[in-house]
Amino acid sequence: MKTILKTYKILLLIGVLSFVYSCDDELEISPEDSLTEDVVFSSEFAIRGALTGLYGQAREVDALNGNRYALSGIQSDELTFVGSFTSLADLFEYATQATNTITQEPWDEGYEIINNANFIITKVPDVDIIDFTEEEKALVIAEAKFMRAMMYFEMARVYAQPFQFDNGNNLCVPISKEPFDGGASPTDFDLPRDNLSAVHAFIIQDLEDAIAGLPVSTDNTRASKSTAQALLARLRLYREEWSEAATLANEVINSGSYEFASDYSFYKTLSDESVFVLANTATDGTFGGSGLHNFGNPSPAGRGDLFYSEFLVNALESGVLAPGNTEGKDLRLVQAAIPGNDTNGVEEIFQNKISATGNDPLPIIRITEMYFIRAEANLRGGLSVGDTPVNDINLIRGRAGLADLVTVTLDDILNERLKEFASEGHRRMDLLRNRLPLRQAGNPQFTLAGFGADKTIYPIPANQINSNPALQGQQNPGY
Amino acid sequence: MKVHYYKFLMLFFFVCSIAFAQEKTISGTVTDDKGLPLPGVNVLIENTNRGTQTDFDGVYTISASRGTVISFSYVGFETKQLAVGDSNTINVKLIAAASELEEIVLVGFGTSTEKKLIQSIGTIRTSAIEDIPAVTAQELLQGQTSGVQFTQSSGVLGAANVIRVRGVSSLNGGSQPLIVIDGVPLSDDINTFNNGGNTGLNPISDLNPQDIASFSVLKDAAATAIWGSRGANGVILIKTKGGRKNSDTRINLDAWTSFTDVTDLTDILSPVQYAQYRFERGQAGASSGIGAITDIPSDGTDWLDAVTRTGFSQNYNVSAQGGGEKTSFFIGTGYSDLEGGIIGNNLRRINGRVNLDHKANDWLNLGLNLSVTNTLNDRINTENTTFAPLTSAYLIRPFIQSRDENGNFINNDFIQNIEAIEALQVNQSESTRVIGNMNATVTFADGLNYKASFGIDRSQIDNFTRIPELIDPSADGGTTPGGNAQNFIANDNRIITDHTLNFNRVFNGVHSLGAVAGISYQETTFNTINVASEDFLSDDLRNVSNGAVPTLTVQSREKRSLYGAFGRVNYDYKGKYLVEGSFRRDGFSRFGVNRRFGNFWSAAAGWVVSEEPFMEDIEEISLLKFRASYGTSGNDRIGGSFPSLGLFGSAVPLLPATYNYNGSGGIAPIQAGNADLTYEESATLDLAFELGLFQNRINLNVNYFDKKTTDLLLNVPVTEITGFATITANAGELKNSGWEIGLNTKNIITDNFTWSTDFNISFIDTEVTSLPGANDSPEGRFIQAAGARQRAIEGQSTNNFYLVRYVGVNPQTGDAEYLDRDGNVTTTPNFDTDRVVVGDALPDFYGGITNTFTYKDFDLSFLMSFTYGNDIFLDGLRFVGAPDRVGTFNQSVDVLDYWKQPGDNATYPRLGSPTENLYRQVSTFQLRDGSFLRMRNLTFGYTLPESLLKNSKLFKKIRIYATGNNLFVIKGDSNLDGFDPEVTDDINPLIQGETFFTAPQARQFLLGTRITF
Repeated sequence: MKTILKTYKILLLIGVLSFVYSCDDELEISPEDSLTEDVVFSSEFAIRGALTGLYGQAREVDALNGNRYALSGIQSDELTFVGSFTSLADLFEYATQATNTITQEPWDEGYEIINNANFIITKVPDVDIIDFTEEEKALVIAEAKFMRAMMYFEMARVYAQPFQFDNGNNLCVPISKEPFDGGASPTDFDLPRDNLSAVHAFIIQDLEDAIAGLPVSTDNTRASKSTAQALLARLRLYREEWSEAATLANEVINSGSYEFASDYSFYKTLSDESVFVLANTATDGTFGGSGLHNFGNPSPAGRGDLFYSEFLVNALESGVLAPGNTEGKDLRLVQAAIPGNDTNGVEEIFQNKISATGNDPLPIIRITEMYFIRAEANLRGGLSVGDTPVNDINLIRGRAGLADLVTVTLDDILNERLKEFASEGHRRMDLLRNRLPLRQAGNPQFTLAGFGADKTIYPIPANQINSNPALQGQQNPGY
Repeated sequence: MKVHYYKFLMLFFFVCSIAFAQEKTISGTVTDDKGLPLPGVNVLIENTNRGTQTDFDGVYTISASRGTVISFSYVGFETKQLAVGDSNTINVKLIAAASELEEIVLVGFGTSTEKKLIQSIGTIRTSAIEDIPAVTAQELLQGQTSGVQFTQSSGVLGAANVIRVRGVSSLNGGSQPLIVIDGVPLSDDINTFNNGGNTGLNPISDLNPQDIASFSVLKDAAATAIWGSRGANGVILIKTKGGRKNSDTRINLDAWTSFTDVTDLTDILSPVQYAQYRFERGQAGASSGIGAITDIPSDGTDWLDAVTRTGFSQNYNVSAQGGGEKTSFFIGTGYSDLEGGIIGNNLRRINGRVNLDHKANDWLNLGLNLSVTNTLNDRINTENTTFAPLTSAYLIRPFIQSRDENGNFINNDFIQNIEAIEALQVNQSESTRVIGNMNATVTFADGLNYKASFGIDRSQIDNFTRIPELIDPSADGGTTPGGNAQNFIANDNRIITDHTLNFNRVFNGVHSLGAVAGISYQETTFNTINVASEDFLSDDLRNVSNGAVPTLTVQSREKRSLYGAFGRVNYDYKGKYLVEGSFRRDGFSRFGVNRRFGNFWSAAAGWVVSEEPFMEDIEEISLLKFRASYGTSGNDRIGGSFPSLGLFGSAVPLLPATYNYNGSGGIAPIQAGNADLTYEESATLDLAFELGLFQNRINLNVNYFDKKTTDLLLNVPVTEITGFATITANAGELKNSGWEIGLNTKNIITDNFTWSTDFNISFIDTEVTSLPGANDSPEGRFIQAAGARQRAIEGQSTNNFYLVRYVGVNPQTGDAEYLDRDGNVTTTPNFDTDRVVVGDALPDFYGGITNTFTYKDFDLSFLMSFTYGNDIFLDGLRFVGAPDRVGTFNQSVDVLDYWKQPGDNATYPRLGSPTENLYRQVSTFQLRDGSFLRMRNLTFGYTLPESLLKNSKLFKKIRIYATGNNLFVIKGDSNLDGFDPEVTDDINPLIQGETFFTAPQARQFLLGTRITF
């Protein structure tokens, strides 16, 4: 009997020991529906997925989709807000608080995309994957740099006074170049705000890398050489660097990849009018709901809270029509806008460029803008790159069914940009960079909306200052 | 060959022992002091392993040789030893034990006795619960033991309950105790749709309460340290019933039927009142006024009546228990068919159980516990959704009709036609769950054995919803087909194996030494499939594949594994001085790689003063024991399977979208990594004394505890430059301390009449001691759950209500008045900055009291439970008690009490006052005292006298009983008509005592019979 028990004991001991031995491995379990950072950067497909993910992230309403437009239009003279959301009403009435949730989102979404881009830009050079060549890596990095530049550019528009305010010496946003990966501490990212010139220099560097690294492409849903040139042209315009702006815009126009559309049916499509278009599809999931999609469409499909201001409607209605215009009004009122009921049941003019669901392609940079930039840069810089300002502006006016101008002034260009880009997110910066008030005289907020006034730019989110010691004391004045 | 040799040897010795010991057969009857036969008495030959049990008639038969001593023991009676003499018949009369001190107490991986127990464990035995007809196992815990707070989240069938053992010890992690059934720690992840609120379904609703033999609630570290990283929220050990060896098979049949209705409904305006009130508003020039009463139809639907009903339920249980020489068994089956007091809420449960215990030979014992349960729950929505019957019935305007003139349902209001929803839509959850445990115990030597067990907890939950065309027309207003369907199937599969070595020996008759050492491995896999579609050509096409547009196709899987090694050593000297220490080391795949393993330990000591010689003369004191323990345990519920990993994923957190782009797969960072993320750790000091007086007719148990939780899981805000708003880290600290008092008295014991009382009360103080990195406020650093009206504040409670103070309606002006932050009266409060701490959702004390009376063959018992000092928040009042919303929502009849002239003390301001719309805002207007005393259970029973059954060969015992559950509740707040004070719409520890329109507790009248064959 003793022997028996001994045998049992030994068997038991062996069993237990082997069990203990095997257990450590059992505790190493990997997720099956998401990937760890290490796994992502050991697979070319996953790396390309992260790159694609940058555009997926940009589809969030507060990144490149929707609210970006609302933030521009609601503060400037192009849109009117009548809804019940106090967070939006505060923006409209220049009563924004630093705790405002709408103005916080571009910061959050911006840095989320920048973090993903930083992962790609810093990790890809060191990955060692069979068949993932150095050339392919360079393309991936260049494309990520474009998206990083795009988001810094967007944040600079929201949180900083324009270049014209203090020659770029004013505070902008913190520049972060590193990913928040497993080895990093959150406190490594307690960064102070950099000034506007530094942020612009960073954007320019990223875009020049993208221009050098990316090929010309006909796929306007993703970054290409021309896309980067187009964004850089816009930045040069904002910085009043006329020669660079005109040259870049001219190159995009002459790239042959895009086509100045003959009418306004390009909205909600992937048409060649767009140099860069966000390809929203329902298949990828719906982000809409709180952005311009919902607020800026008439009820009942949308909330009917945000519509064309009287000033904008007047501007559209006061254009001199071309003889052949059978509609009897600016075609942008017919094809790119729609009358409808606001939230109070009053009929107003709403944009018709993005639907309430937000599941349609959304142009981010249009070829038309390149004509505008070339025209303005040529005019203000005394240059003659490509075509003349009057030809460029008349091209745009012609499509709208307006009569040709004989000469063009800066006011003509700004007025035409107002009408062409209504609720597309350009107006606020067009006014700021020209030292103009955001509201027209007579508007209740006129005195608060003058050039350089505190509330013409948005607050650094209060919780960001709370959670980052380096930002303390760096809030925008007036908040 | 060896085995055969061994068997042969055994046979040889067996034969020899018969041959040489001259054994004879002894038989007799064991009775109690009244002469009634006692079944199941353990009859053991001293100093051997041989024994038997008495059968149902108290009769036993055993072989024994002359001179040997037979011991007769039975729970609740004093053990008697008798030597075998000449007679072959030994009849025994057992005297009821004065105490239950020798009763077995289930502890982690072992047992102890009440007397020697130096852990803090609340035990609830069969006797306390067998006469409570319960639908869910947890109900049996209500008010039964100190230190356990039980909140039934609502009166909805299958709704989850909130159980807190010794307060709240986690803010962002799980706070429910670990539940272990027959050695199988249950999986309690929520695998169902959220139907409003955040309470989910009850994780142990699959357990038939009638199968339960006992609960042990493990409270202090001495008891929970051996459960390691899962012990900090307390552990509830459930043991199911077994059979007794050598006993006749006893068959129990229990059947009851009941009627259920809904308690506490708020009176709302009838169509006539509604029209009149809006007319009065019109006259006063207030919003939502009408020019003439006839502008609104005077007939409508009594919506509250339409959604409530008297539910008829029935419940049947049949079980058999008994055993032969080697095998004992319990086989039971149950069938419950329950109707809730709210339309559309039904639950059907069918379950079966087999428990077996087989003694294979001298050294091998085999055991099996297996239960299979099928539960079909017809669910309803609750809380803040217009799909919730009660919410919808309160809010829909009373003149809205449910059906057109042809009797067909119509749905033409902003608030859905809830009667149509419940009649037409499908919303069900069907689960099939198998919980089982097979074990083998090998005895190496006397007092040394090895036990191996393999357990499973496997459930498949099939959730299905189908919303018909009427309720979900397409966006174009019904031109094209609408309707939608969703099917969510979750497979939750847990396997577990434990291996333990047990040692128990008494040295020199005075030194008792016990030890247990073991290892445990547990693996849990979740596989879920979630599909949905919309646009159905016909409501008769039920399933997802018939929808024209697929909206969701998700399949995902997660796996977790936990490995533990543990041990415990206990020693006592003469049962007087007791010490014990335990240890566990746990590794869990969920924890961050830097802190994947954790060590837990405890030390405890006790002194049974009443065993000392100098106490022998004090006859009044039958027990006096002091005990103390200190130790640690952990809370592993820090979320999901991979909370510590930095992850890239395609699904956008919290949105029905992906990072895919233009048809290409896209991923982005979705979770920040924290390799240091690990369990929350609680260290508990426990001090107690136990006093028994007058042969334990009075038992007093007083316990003080101080439980400090560190490494509290917090979502620490970080700069968004990281790409994340917060990271999850072990950062905070909190403390629970308090007193637990239990008092059991046998007030009257006479031949015909007995009265006993069990009373328990717990005082618990919860304080957040540290919240590093949390947002600051004038009150201190705080955290709060999204949408919560309460905050956990550093230096204060975890559940401070943080609201603007409402004063009332000014009798002179007729305007509503509030206080600003500084205490000045204002009619224009700022509902953000004027908030202050005004209350606490946690009670000062809670407890229960049970009185049991028996008179001859009648018995009566009632259980009351109480809670004192907590506040509750009635969110629904912001809708149904906000006068200027009357155009959109129906209102409580209280709105009729509005200010009319100076001097009026009215509930609501004058019609059209600019302060009317402030009632939409969150303030103390919606806050109430949540104290209550509830008559939870009252049972009256009658057992047919023995004399009647004597002639019947068939029946052994017949008992009929009537029970009332939730008969009444005494509320601490006079202004709480129409609301149940026992509510919570969330199991999140940061959101307690908040209710939208939580279904009140159901009142149930029940009639039943229990027959034993």
